[in-house]
Amino acid sequence: MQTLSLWLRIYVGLLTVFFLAPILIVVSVAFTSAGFVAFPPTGFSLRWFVKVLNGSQFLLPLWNSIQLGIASTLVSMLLAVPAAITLVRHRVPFGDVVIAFLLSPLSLPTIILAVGLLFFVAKVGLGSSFAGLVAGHAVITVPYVLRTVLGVYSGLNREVEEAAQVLGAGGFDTFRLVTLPLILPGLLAGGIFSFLLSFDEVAVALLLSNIDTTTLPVAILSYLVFNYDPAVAAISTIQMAVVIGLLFLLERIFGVQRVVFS
Amino acid sequence: MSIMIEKAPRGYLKVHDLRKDYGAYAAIRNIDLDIPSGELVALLGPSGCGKTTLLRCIAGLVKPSSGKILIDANSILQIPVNRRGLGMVFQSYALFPHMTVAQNIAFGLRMRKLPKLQTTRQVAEILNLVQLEDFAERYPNQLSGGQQQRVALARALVIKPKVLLLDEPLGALDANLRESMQVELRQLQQQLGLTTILVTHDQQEALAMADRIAVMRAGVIEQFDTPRVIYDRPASAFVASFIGEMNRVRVRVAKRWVGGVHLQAGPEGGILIAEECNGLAEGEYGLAMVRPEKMLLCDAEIEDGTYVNKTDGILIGVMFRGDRILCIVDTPLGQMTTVRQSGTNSPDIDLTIGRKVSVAWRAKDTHVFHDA
Repeated sequence: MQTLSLWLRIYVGLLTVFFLAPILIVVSVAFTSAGFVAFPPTGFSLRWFVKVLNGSQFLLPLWNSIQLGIASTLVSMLLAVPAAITLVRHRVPFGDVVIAFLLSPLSLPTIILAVGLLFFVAKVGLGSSFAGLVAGHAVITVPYVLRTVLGVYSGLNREVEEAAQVLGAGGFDTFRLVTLPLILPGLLAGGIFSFLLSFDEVAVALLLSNIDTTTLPVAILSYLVFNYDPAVAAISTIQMAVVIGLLFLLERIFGVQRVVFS
Repeated sequence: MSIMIEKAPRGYLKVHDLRKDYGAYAAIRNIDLDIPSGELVALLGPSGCGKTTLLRCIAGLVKPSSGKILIDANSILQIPVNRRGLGMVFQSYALFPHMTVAQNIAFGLRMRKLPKLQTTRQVAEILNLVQLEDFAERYPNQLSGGQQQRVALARALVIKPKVLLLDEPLGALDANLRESMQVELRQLQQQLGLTTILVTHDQQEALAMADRIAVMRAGVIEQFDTPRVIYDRPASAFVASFIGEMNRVRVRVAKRWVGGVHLQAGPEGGILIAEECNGLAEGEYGLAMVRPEKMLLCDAEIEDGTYVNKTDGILIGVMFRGDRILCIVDTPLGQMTTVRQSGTNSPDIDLTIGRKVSVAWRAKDTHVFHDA
């Protein structure tokens, strides 16, 4: 491997600091013993973690967010995979238009989507239920899953599926034993993006959640309106830990690095 | 005493009046094939001639618009692709990249719910047959092209198909490997007595491997016969020029009589003689074709009286090809290519470029076709 030039090292170093600094500040503030947010933190204590983890103020939203992330990811997988297979394998009239339509939420500001969804779920009677939230997040996450699955699936040799059929596999066996394992990298990559997006999303959750279904970002936002103590830093640290833990797990099982960056 | 029951012939494939339309375009039409058990038939033609569509209809991957396909006298058109029990080798091999060689081969048996022990035994047997015993645990991307080809073949054979379908199976191999695989594949097919359909655009492959060849063009079969007959007595100008080389001369039928045909060639009015003219009427224009190896390059007089067609010309090119020598002669009828065996005891003639020479050929080697 070629050694990096001096300027490139400086550049990479600055970029790393730029990315990591805000995160490190939040994490370090979470461990402060002071009663206010200040950097550098004074003293070391876990009191803000204790405060956050006792009481349901953040714990319930954290649990809501995890459920919501998983549910909307599963829903978008269930929608995106059949859509991708149909669009790639069959001559769908105006297929390109359909793809563009399915990807269109990418180009809309989520706050606009959220306002539209608010009226829509009220009209169809979902109100501010968990199902409404899942539907709202699925609209946002479907394009990510569809995008990655389309990418992998359209690169797949059609004859491989045909070979399975000739050898005796019916439609479901072909999907289960051949198609699914081969699109798994794309599906997982899209799924990870989808979960992170939902876990992090504010606008839709703000408008569609109620007191029981409040998500973590919404809870943090509401807390910040009236409070300015390091509890927020502590819950943010927990949030990051959840995401990092998840990525670590997926990395161990499937090799995320290969999945996301290949 | 037990009564000997004769086994019903396995894999007798019959295709009757098959047709596939894509909108207004007929990919194949009027397809009739009658393939006895154990025969290897090559579907030969240029790309777009419909040979792959025909193969995919038999496999069940394409639904024909009309016609019949029968195996052992039973129609298979209503049977979905996964129940037809045919073996198929794809041009891309289509191996499952996420499975080992052994898992790839076992796939068909797994779909048939064969017990594990039997599966393992049959996979081992077939791996032995294609000489890949040591590669059972490798993944396809760890194999060479030739090895992948064998795995694809083994995977198709292990389910003991009634009919084996091969879609350009050797197309992705380099020339040397292709030739040795042709021999190997043919031996295996004969050993197993397996009815086989081979789709190819390579005339050498078809000539070398097939019991019979169906030459296809624009969705129809132009000729269906043994390689020998196809080569020696092509049914059309297309078949004649698609398989092997041909010298062509534009002619007009001057006179037909019982023993043959007089053809007028070129404006100078030289007369050529052929034995028959494929139904061309007197006065009609057509193409006379002669294989290079049937043309004799000579100095002046030939003693063999059957070489009735003769034209003088100038030797303009000599190409040494090892086992043979191509000589190109410029004549009033156009350029003629002749082939001489090199190193045989045929009388040597001076091959200096620019010499005056003659080419001669027999009436029976002159094929006459409609100019199409």
